[in-house]
Amino acid sequence: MGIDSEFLNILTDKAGENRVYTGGDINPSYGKDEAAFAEPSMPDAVVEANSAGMVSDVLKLCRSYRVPVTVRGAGTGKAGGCVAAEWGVLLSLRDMNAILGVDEAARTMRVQPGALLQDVKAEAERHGLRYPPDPGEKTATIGGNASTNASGPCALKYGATRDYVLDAEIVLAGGNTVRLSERPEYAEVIGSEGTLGVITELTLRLTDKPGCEAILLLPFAGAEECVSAAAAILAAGFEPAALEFLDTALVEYSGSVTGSAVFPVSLDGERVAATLMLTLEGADEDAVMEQMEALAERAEELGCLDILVGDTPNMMRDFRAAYDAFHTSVESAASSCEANVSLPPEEVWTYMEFARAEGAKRGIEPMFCTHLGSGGVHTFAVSDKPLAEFAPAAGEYMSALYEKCASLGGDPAGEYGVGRVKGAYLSAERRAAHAALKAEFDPEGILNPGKAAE
Amino acid sequence: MAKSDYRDMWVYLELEDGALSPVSLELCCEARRLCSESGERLIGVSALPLPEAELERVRDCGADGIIMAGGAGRERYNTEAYTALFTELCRKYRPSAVFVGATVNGRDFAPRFAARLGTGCTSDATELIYNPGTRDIEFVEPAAGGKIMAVITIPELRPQVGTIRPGTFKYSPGGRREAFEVIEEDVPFPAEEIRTKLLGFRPNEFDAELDIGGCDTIVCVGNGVKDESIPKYRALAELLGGKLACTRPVADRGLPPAKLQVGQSGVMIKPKLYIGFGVSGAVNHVAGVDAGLFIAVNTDPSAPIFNYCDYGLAADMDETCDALIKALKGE
Amino acid sequence: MLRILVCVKQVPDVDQLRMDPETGSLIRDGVPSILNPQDANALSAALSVKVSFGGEVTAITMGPPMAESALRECLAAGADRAVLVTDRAFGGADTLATSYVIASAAGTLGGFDLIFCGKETIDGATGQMGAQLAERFDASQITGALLVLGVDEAARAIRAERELERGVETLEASLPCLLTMEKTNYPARIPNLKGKLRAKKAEITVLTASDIPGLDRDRIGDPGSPTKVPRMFPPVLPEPGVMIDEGGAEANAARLCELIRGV
Repeated sequence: MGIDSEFLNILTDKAGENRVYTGGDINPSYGKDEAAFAEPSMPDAVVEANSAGMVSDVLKLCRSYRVPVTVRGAGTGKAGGCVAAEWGVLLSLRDMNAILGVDEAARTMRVQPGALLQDVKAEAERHGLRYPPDPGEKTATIGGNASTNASGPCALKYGATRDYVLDAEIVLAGGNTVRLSERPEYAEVIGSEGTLGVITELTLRLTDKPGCEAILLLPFAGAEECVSAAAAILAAGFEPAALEFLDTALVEYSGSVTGSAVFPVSLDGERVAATLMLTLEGADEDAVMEQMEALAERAEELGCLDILVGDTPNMMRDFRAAYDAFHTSVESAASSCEANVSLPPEEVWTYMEFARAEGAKRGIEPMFCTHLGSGGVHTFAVSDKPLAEFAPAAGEYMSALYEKCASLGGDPAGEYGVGRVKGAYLSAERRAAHAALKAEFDPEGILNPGKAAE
Repeated sequence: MAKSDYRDMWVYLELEDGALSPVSLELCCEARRLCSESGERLIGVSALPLPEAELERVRDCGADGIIMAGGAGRERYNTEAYTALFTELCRKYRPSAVFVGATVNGRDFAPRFAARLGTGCTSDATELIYNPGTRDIEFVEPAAGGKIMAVITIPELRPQVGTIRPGTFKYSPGGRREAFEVIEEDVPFPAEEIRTKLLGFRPNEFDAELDIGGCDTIVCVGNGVKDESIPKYRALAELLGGKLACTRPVADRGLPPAKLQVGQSGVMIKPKLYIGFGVSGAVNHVAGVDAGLFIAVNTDPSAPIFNYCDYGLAADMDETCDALIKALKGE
Repeated sequence: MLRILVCVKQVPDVDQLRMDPETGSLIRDGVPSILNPQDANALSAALSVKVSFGGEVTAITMGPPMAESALRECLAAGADRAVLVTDRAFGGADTLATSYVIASAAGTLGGFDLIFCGKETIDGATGQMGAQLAERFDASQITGALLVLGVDEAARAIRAERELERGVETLEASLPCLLTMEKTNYPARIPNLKGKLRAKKAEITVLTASDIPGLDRDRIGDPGSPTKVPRMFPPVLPEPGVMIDEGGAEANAARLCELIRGV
């Protein structure tokens, strides 16, 4: 299969010569995302769209010629969702990156899909407001976040991206444009990884900034105690905005890359196995202090070695930067892999134990960063070996993890979406449900085929 | 005593292994200009006897004279003896200004002798202006992280003491004066009053990667850089046959090493090519860059760095770096 | 027991300062005040000395009443007590007048064996307070200290490494000694909750001008400051350079390549 010259001529005519690339002119980075070990897969043509109208023209054309279209943002995904499965057109929305405006009174922001998460968050802060979702990859596009319903640590209190999409402009498979606010039945497009429609504009809900916040670090001598402590904290009625398990191995590894571990590695001579990181919020300093005092009363019962407090702008900035550096530090290794899944929170420890045991069989030492409240587990592994040597064992290892996740009632696609990597691990019900939607939204199957739950 | 009772501008002549430190001569050249405007004499002051050749270099910068202090106690730099010497000489000769190079030791004793004299001390001026109306020197300094420039004066008291960073002013000897007075002073300092003892010295191991001062190509990363992206810029620097450097906020994060910091409080550089990524363009930083070709990449099109560069690119730094590496490799 | 003083300053978070393009002055509204970052390193060094050699750590600052929060930060990180030196009469002080007030205030608290300072502040960045304070305390000084190697209270001596341009010297200095610290070996302490709660309730000693006997009023505040700031102005920006816009990362990179190859 492939595209013919007639199709290409019309495409170039519609999109403009300087926005269409074919063959050797295609930037090789369009052939992959950040999924480990995936073979590059080049599209026949790339369109760098700069307007919703152009997106509509391209989709219309592609449907009439039955050419598959894969939509793409910054390409920071880890499941291959934005890479052309076999052939067709890759539609990059990276240039549609304008922040169209913030309505402070209504607490909303209108953005184009190519705007980066970090820019969206910064713009909200500039207006004294906040865009709460905080997936670790801050250079992902907001459109990519919406397409994968990305979550992150704050999902515990604030929910995932979907919960912040108030309205969207969506171009459907045939090129028609709808607004979500007028046609709520198209809500399934959010989180569908570009398989049901293309998002060309978003209206995001913003929140007030908390009056005061503090990040607490609870170091533990044992990793299991750290996991149980999180459950105990939630059971006791605390409502942290984030509740994160930080594996000391990961803290050390990232520290060796960035030059500063920031999080505790040992405390009064005792080795820290894992640290629980909590973000507390309140209307004012007293409200946060009250929560901290309540937590202090439980310190003994939780079994933590200490409770460290970062409540100054400097400390919180350092903590956040160190946290965000985890996954990019891992990527800087000669070889690395990561498996990102979502589990029922009570199964997190079983899963992590399995991951350790399974890794030991293959000479892989996993490192974890886990959203304990919501059950999202990021398992990282690094190696000094070249990728070709590391890939076979790591590939098997990741498959074992996804299978285990599914068997524990978890969702292998819970973080970063399904893409082309994880479809095989999804339940039959889920695939059937997706097939039904697909038949309705995109009967010709031109939108990102081979992805999500297909 | 009135301000007018204080005359002549002094420059501290610091010796490093028997030779004058570059900053001493840079300051002589700059102070010469001020003296010509104020009608005062430029006097070099040395805390140790000066070799003849070095003395000639001071003359070449247009000095009117030199005070050379002899006597025991200053063979090794120590705060006490140097503070005492400058206090005593200032009381005796009453200079209107004393300029001290902001070397580690210069910054150690200059504020201290100024405090002992009860006079004012300024640091890190990037420009010196003589105001003939007030007869004061205006020390122009970047403040608040370089976001604003402040003019500092010492309007009542004398001498006006200022420490100036090496590399701030150009070494451009303007020629000799006809007369050159050499004053030798014997100012011994009692060994028992020296409060520090030198127990050992460990010279820096020469690390080529850290030697950015004399490098022709510099890739500099600013606050916009992500910690984990730094290896990418190092790779670009290597590809260009140059070295990686950074701005103060990046050095403050502890990575890369502080010795790679370019700018007033870091290293002053004079490369043929400078490419700044994510550098905002704070005065303190750009004051340390004297580049043949100055290229800046920053996402913010209004960043001041674009006012200092020859060529600017308002784009994502990491993306640009990746693309540039590819392009250079001819991929 | 060693008596250790740490001198700190509350500063605006200069990274967040913006200039008003209309007036050319700095916009301070909404910019948080923080403990000067390098002072946190100095405190960390003082606390290390306390752990290794025993002692009591006092944090002191001169500033407006709101500077109390910087002191509570020090208490939370482990300082034993804190002193706020505050008075309208101290306002507008330069480093010399400030060093006079701090040393005079410290004099009312009894003597100190060791005085720690950060190497410089992020707002003034003169880096000269340490030496001026040492003069007022009549103390020995080690500016730019990297590492404290040991303190011998009986012999009244401290050993420390000091960074020079070409290497590192090991010095022994007599007590009392003032050290300005490089941050390298002393990352800021993350306070624990116990310290935080203790700090919240802790009594902070407040000293005003009248609490300091013998204070010479001519040597404090703006009138007692030999340096003045007659004016401030925004940095004069040169004419902008040529902006590259070839319409894409690759094309831009190609243009950069051309420029670079021309060097």
